Amino acid sequence: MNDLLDLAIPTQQRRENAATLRPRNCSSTFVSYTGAQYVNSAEHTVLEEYELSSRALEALFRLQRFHELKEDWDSYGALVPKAMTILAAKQFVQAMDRKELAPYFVSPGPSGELMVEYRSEGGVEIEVHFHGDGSRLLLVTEGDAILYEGPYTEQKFLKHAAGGKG
Amino acid sequence: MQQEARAEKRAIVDADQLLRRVRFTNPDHVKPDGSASSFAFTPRKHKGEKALSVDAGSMTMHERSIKKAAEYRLYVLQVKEVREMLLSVCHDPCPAEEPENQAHTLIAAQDGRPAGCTDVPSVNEGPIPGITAENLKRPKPEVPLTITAGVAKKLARASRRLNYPDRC
Repeated sequence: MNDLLDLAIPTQQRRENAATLRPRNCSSTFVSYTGAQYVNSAEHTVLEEYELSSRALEALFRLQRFHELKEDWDSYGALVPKAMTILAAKQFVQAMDRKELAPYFVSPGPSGELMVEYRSEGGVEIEVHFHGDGSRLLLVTEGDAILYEGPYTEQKFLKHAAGGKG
Repeated sequence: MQQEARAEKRAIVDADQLLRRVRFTNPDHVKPDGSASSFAFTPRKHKGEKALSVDAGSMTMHERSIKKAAEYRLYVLQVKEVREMLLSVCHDPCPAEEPENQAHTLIAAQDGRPAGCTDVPSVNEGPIPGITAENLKRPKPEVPLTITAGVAKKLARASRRLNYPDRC
């Protein structure tokens, strides 16, 4: 477990298996997942209330596994992704899942970057690349045509994910 | 003298194939539909590389190119298709990281061609019988400056999984 979000990822296990988890560098507050709610113990307020889709859970599981990568994992000299890059991708997957956008595929890149791919119903493939320096790239393609390649903006992402091509 | 002979560069013909190892165990670069991720065709930017390493199919064997059959699969690109993307295919035998690999070849854009590479793609716009409205509208193909994410995506889309060692 590398960060608070790792601890807060809900699993298929329900309330009877709820765990109370304490993040690093934090002695007074903790986050618990009780089956449907994330609770901040310091304020005793409900932070979130949602259930992740099975595809999002699978993507989060795969992203978690990227912490275990060793250098040269692809045999071409690939770097391992930073913990913060993995965290950013996880947060993105969770945030988009709440908008009912489930990821199709996640993958680490050769230079420590990560990709989360989505597919629209119209066959548009949307890749969000998370780079080690915190920047993000959005690549939108349909067949061999590149519809957009450039800096990520949520507006552009959502437009294409919803099926817009312009 | 022998070393120089081993490292002799050859022309890669259009009919040849290019092999790229793609990891298929978790974490993998193979999507649920069997296609390869664009990251499998992305150069290592952290090493300053602008070209993509592949093996020329006519100069190697599958078992040598795949290295670890338990973790990788080979994806094939047709040289002709790569050149049609206005990319260069440059034989680059025995690089420092793989001194025994005589089949090592680079796929490069305009900005990543290795020294001595003479494979410069020419922009062929096809027969233009005359100035027509259609010809004027047709966008000129652009030689990519680098292997961007979009170019890597096109390479991934053009690649086909080789049935080795699987026989499915």
